[in-house]
Amino acid sequence: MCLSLTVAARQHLRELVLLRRVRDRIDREESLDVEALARGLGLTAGDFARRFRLAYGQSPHGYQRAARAVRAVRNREAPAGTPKVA
Amino acid sequence: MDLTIHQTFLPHLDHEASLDFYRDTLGFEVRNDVEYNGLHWLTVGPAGQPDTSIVLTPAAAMPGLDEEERRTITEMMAKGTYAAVNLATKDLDGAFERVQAGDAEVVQEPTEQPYGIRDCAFRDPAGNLVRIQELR
Amino acid sequence: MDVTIHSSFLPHNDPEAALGFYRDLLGFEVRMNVKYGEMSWITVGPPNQPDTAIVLTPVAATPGLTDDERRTINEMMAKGTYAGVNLATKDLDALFAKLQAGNAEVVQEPVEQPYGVRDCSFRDPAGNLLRIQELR
Repeated sequence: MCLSLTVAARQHLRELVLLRRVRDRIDREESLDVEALARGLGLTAGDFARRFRLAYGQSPHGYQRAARAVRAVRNREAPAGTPKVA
Repeated sequence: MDLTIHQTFLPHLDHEASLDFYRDTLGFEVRNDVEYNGLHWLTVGPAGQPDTSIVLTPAAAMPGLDEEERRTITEMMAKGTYAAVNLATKDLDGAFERVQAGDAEVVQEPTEQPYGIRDCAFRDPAGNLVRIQELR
Repeated sequence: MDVTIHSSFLPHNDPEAALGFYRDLLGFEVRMNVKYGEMSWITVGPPNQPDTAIVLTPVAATPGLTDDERRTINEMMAKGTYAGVNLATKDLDALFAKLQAGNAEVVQEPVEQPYGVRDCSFRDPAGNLLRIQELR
């Protein structure tokens, strides 16, 4: 069973799923090319950054810094043989 | 004391899609499928781990949530920030191949991590982050 | 395929309170406790279940959440509608007595449920619902 959603709500959720794939890529990759990520979504860099911030509370760069800092601390302090933070 | 972790929860959006993933792609048993008012609660778990299960729940449709909460949960699920689980296997490459063949959303291919664990990550049909680590 | 459930996540909002509950009252081992500024990730698990754990996460302080989401999550945690886990034990009455003596928040005393299981439930300090079923 699904929640009954308006067309606009469904479209919004679809867009969020696309953003999540971009966020996963940001988590996985070393560098961050906002232009290229935006192009992949058919958006301008500015538009992409704005939508990312609305969804995740931070700009793509801000999010990458924060998420990396958290991971680095958790990974550094984890004893050998511990699962990586998700 | 003999207390054990028995069932943990993950949200689902579509019980058929989640069944396909947990049962067919990951090879879990379906231990229960309870339907109520069109909503499904599925209990799944590995055959080799009979005393531990994941209960897949229709989280966003649960009674007792207000509209804003439902919307927040639904959006967080779409954004991939709502829920996650960590699994483990001796054959990481085999598991990854099977997951990839089942068309799951790959987040990270099998990678050796900085402190000696090898793992991969993908998202289930509801956007939950599933990380699988290699047991050595 | 031998994929097993390794660890699941529960939110917390006070590491000392969480340790007081999971380590001191439930008797779980603390397998890891990673601190970053105000945030702590605490991995706990039953001593007799070494391959399964719960990671207590400072969810409201995690990157990638909007301020509105943090607010909604904190409210849901306070209301007890956000997360939970199911545990199991052979001696439910002894465990219930111990939790009550430890001033844990009782939700439901041990009762025989219509679905054929005897269980009780509590909230942990963060409002997560812990249902504990009796193994027969």
